[in-house]
Amino acid sequence: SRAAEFTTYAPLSVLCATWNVNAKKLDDASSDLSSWLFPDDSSPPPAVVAVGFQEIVDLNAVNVAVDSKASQRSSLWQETISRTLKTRGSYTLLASVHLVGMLLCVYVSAPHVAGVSNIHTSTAGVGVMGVLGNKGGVSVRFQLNDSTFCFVCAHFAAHRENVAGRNADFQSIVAKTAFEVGEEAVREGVKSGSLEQWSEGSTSIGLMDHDFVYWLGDLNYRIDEALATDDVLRMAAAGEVEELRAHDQLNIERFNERVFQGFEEGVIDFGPTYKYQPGTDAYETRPDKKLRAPAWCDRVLWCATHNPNHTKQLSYGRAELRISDHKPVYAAFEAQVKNIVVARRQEVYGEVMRTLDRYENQSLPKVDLNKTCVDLGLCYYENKATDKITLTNSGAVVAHFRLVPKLEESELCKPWITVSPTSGMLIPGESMAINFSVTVDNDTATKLNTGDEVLEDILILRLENGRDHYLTVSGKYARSCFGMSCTDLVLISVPVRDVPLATKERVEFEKVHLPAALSVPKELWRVVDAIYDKGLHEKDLFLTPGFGNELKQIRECLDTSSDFGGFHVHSMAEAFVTLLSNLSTPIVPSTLFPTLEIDQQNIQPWSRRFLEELPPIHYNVFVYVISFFREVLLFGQSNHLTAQKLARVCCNCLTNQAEAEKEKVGGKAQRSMAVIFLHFLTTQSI
Amino acid sequence: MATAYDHLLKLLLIGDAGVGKSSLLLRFCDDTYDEHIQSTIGVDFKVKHATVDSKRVKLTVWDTAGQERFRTLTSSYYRGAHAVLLVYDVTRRDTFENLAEWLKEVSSYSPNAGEGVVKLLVGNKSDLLDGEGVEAVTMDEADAWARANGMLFLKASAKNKEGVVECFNEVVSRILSRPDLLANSAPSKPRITLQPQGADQGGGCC
Repeated sequence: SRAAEFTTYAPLSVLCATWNVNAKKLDDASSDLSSWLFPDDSSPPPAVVAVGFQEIVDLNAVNVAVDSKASQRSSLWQETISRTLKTRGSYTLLASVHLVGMLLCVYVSAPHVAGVSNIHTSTAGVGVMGVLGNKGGVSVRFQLNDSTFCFVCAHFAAHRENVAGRNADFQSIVAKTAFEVGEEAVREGVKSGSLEQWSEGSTSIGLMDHDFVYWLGDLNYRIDEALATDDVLRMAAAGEVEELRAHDQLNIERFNERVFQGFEEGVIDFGPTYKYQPGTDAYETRPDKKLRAPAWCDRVLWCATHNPNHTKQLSYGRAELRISDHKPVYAAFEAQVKNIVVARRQEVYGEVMRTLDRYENQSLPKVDLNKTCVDLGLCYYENKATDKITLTNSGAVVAHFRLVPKLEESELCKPWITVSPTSGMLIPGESMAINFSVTVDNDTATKLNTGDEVLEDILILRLENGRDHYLTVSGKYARSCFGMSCTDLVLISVPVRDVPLATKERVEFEKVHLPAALSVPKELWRVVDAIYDKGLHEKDLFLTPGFGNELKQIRECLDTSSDFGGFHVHSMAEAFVTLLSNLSTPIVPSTLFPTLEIDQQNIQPWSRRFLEELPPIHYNVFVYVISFFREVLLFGQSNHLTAQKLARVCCNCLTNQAEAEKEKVGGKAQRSMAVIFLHFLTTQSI
Repeated sequence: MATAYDHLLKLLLIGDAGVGKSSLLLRFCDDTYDEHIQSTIGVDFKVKHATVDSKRVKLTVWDTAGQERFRTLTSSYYRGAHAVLLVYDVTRRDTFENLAEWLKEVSSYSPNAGEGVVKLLVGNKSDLLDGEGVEAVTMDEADAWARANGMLFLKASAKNKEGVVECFNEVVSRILSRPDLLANSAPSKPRITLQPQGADQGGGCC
């Protein structure tokens, strides 16, 4: 649509000439074709001259099948035309093409030769069986500057009544004519605007795929049979052209849009060109010849496919050459030839492409994030920390987003992160928050304590048909004694919180704070001590849950070695149970569970062996806990606790209570273990 | 909207943080420059139509995060790439020395140990050398490194435009000369829409 910015037009004169020569040759005397090819000597000679002949040889079976005579005649006619053209200027033959009796020669004058490219010819036979060339069309196409031209020289079916045959010949020639111009020329045509909507990779174009199509030849249309032959003869001789025009078959067919759709023809202001008595200017009326009604068999039509104003007919007439039974016809035109200023076109093309690119890039979904990092700061054991990232659709289109797993992973993120929503849609301007929460559960705490895990993960936020954003979620774990092992805890004399998580820093830390060698974890001792202080007479001690909030504060006091506040004894008791049950390795490993039923006979040896096999620190803790519980049982009157009840508490806090583990160990072994706990609680065996 | 093209090509920009990958993308695709461009947290891409060697190509240029902490994530973007542009900053030697690491990434994640993509070394920020910037890597050294690793070296400046279009043209031209790379470049949508209801891609246009 911006073609006008880089396209200029210049007028070009074109002459189209057609003659059915009735297989006659020129004798020397009549070898000058000037009156036909240069009808208007007052204007400069045309830039392009297209000369078409029909019946350069008799259309007999031999000539249709064997080309030699036609070739010979073609050369002869070419020589004659060249000789004529030379008298007015310097012309170059662009191409000549013949098929049996049809011959088309296209010339261009010297100044325009350099502008011509992509010259191709085509023939389309529509005669006998639809292929032989007694009838049909021959074509020459080329490009001049940035316009494409196609000249067709045709010979349609004869006989006055055969209008339908002629119409069909037109359609066949249009359909059959194809030029193998190659991909490059097709692309060039699309670029210059001569071709529209051309399919990718196409190498061939048709007759109508040109800026200009000039159609000349013996189209054989006659005067409608409504007029009697005698009347036609009379009117033709009398020059009553206007009356005859109304009965011209081609005019009638074109008016009804049955042929030459889209083509134009100038008004005929000359007498019918057929059928003459050869050698004379008289219509054929000799009694020994078949009587023919004179007709305008020889015509020139045109079609300026992209803009009808681009071709203007300057003249349309006939020359009075006598050798044939037809008179030759000519038509002069002025065509507006396109000239694309390449540099300017590239500039405009580049601009258009940039605009399209910018447009396409602006059509990509775009989302702004208020931040890309969620830093949750200190994250406490079993505490939920939350934050959010706000997405705003800052683009021009709807944005669909979703969180996607990293390459070769199946989860969106680490298990300690929960994120919601994981997908959604935002219309332009709309905002939405993605909520993140981080919870350090016991499993995660265990990994964090050993330095196997850090609180950092990156999530991929993908915009459909758009970019990826990386969201970083991080925190700093506030180390807790919960989730550690008793063997590690006894080495730490300082507050657990102070011990660095990263291995490297921990090593440095341990150089300054030498490992302690406590017999039981100091945290366990502190909790037991606090319960002692509160008194052991509280009813259902260890069986009644504590207060969640207090439990959290107790944990913090243990981790930071700060003084307990006035916490409820049940909270302290629960802290005692959970501290033990959440150790990363249970005090009593399941490998030590009895493998057979425990009864009064074998309980002594089993219990002894059990104690011997407990790892040293585990042994300390176990003895410490049992001793404490035995103390608790002394207050059985007031706290209503029994050895059985506390044996169950032991099972809960000293063995691995994970369902999977319990299943592995089996119910029998668990029951046996409980019997052993009961044994220790009720006898003086420790 | 449907601009015809012969090949759809995927180009990947890699290199250390701050060498100017996003600026090259912006200059090449939008012909703009932003002095205060933010660091890329993720992977961005833009499209560009171009005509190279009389072929019309549609390029999707992917701009990756250069930061070390994202290194493991960026590997997935090598899939389907026709070319990789390794970018360094001509005034920062460390960004040149890290190219070995980047090249290792290319070899690990691209077909045929990195032979299945066109590679180009781009020394960005050449504009700084006109002022007080010091050339941290000589052109000869960069050129030798590129040669030794089977690629071409070009200087560019996203800021003053020098060499940017040339870099991309060179890359595209090399892709077009390798039939093995063009096998999967037939025009199609850049990324398959995952949700059918989201199919109004480019909605509201025209």
